[in-house]
Amino acid sequence: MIYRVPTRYEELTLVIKVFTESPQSIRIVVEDEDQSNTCFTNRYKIVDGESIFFVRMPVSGNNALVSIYNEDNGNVSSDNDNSFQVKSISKEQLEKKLDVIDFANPLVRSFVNFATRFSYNAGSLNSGNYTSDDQKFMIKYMPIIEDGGQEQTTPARIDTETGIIEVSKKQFLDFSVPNRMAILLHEFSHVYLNENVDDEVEADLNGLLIYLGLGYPRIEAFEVFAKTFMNAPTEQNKERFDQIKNFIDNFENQNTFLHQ
Amino acid sequence: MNDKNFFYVAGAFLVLVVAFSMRKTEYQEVKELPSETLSFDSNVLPSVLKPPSRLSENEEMPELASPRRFSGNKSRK
Repeated sequence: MIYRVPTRYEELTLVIKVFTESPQSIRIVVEDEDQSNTCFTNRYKIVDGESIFFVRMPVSGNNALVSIYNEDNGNVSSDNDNSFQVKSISKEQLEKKLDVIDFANPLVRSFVNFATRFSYNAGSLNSGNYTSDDQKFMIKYMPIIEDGGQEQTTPARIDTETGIIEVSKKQFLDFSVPNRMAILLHEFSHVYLNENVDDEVEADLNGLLIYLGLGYPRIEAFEVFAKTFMNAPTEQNKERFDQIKNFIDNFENQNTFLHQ
Repeated sequence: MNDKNFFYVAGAFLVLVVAFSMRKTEYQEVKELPSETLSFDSNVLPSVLKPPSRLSENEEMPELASPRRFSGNKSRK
């Protein structure tokens, strides 16, 4: 079943309360009503009794289409599925931790603005070269990323000399807005925040600090790293995922996580 | 209007404001979506969400922000 929720370009948290009488796999998809390929979340949970979905949205469109359905029955109207009830949908204030982000750094401010606008619009942008307003950053939005005619599995990469970011449109179309932000902030961090430009974990954590501080949802961060690592399931990536999980858990608990 | 009446009116007004703000909004289920997505005009977006500028084919590449450290080895991360 689909609900139209006016979000009016605001920062908000959608709170969706669902009830089932037995364990059911309930999926929530929140999409922009006007922009194609612009999804804010696509997640599921086994619901047994009453359960609440919190969808953090630092970015939203004018109206959101909220799909709530039982995975066994597909996205049908409420008349055709009585395996669950939507008790309520409401909007709450978004929690952010902006003090952890170094907004005194003009490059951080500029890139956050650029990445937000690119991530929100990537579903409808043509391939091409896009720049930030101050022209300090550039994204080459390419059909695919390839080397010597061979398509690369990475959704994005940054040139450590020039700072140019290459993004695969083929992959980005399938990513949610938060997924896209997490990826872009990782690439930015390699060149502009890392002590060691080659350190992938440092880039993960520097990027995540900004991502989580802005109020973006944890689950979409896990999802994008898991998707990327599944394409390259190395021992290094497994360790990266463990470090990412620890970092996110500690961020939520306001603990300090040291990466050395 | 004497002071007592003023406070009664002000109190009633306050109760109404609180009651309306606590009222849950019921969102209607969408039974049918439009068959075609209308073309989207990005001019309606607020400035923080407008699409970034796209360089034209012949436009010169700008001088980007210098990387924090130059490693000396060209690589892509």
